[in-house]
Amino acid sequence: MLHLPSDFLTYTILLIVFALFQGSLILILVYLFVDKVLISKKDTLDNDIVKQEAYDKALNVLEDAKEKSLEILGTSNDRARKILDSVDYINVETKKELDLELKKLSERQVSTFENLSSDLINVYKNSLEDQHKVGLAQIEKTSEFVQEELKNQITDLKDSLQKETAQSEEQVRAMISSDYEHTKAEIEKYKNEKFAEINLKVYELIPQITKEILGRTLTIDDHQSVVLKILDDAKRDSSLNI
Amino acid sequence: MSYLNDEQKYKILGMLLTRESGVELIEYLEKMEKHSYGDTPDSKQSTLRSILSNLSIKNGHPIYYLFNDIVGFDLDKDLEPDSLRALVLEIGDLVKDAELIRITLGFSPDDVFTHKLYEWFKSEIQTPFVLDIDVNKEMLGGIQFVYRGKFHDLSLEKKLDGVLAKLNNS
Repeated sequence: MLHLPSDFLTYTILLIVFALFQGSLILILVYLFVDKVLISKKDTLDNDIVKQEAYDKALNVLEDAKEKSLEILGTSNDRARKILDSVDYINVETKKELDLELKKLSERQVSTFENLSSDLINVYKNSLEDQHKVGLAQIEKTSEFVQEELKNQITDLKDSLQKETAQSEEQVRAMISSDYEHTKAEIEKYKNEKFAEINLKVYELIPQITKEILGRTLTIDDHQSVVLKILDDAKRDSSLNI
Repeated sequence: MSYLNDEQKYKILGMLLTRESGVELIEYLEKMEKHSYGDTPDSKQSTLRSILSNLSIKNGHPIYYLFNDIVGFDLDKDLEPDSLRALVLEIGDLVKDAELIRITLGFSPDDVFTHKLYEWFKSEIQTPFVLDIDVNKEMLGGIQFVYRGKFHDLSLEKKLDGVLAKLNNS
């Protein structure tokens, strides 16, 4: 014969434990869902790291919940068994039924946890794959964008370089031209100065030399001939305007 | 009364060639004048020949040539003192009034060359003139002269400058 209040209390406790366990599972799933949504909105590769961390945390939480549930369940079973053991007036058959029920409950709980872990892994895997696809697409887009941007920048750089090179060439050419003109002018000036010096020396030297030579070589007759020739030449070319 | 026509004047200047010769001629004529008139009556000579003889002036001397060939005085005829005086004055004025060509040469010219110079200028200048020749031994060669205030440089130095200038410009 069953002791109704005790049995009722025991089953109530078990239900509460089970309800708590289910509630924690729902919370974990909500957490994972929110985490997934949040993670899916991230575009960078850091998302994987964050997701991995979230996944690890979720697994940890799940593992903790599982352990705690099992612990609670174990404790509850023990307590239930103790209660059942302490109840003398529960017959053996009833006890066996209760044990069986408890065992089933425990097995169902384990199975639920395993399914839950498997679902979680699948969800995470799918999420990762989705994220991977999105990432790849984004990377492709990014790659194209970067490629285009790089192309544009290279084109701009090329144009800029060409422009700057042309400007530099022009500047160099102008500088060289200016330097060349300057150098040419200096050379010309130097040349003129040197010629002037040489001419000056020639002017100084030639009359002296000529005088020395003529003074030694010209006779009176030569002098007279020179004078008459010079006069006749002047008369002939009309350079002498008397 | 003038004893000399233009042709005679040109001949006299052509004989003299230079102002220096003109001055010498005038000095000779003044001596002749003294010999013909003298300070005392004893010194008076009757004919031009006797006067020239006393001055040791023989045929071929410019004075002899002047009186005999240019002016045409009869050497054996009595010479009127006034005529001689007038002639001396006229030749003095001729030399003094003749245009002067101042010439510089690098050597001392002889009479033949001076005559050639005179003839050259005579072909260029139509008025009576005499030469005044100065010698500058520093001069390289050629001739410089001043006529009517204008300096003409036909020296070798000048020619040399022209040649050097052409060389410089080329």
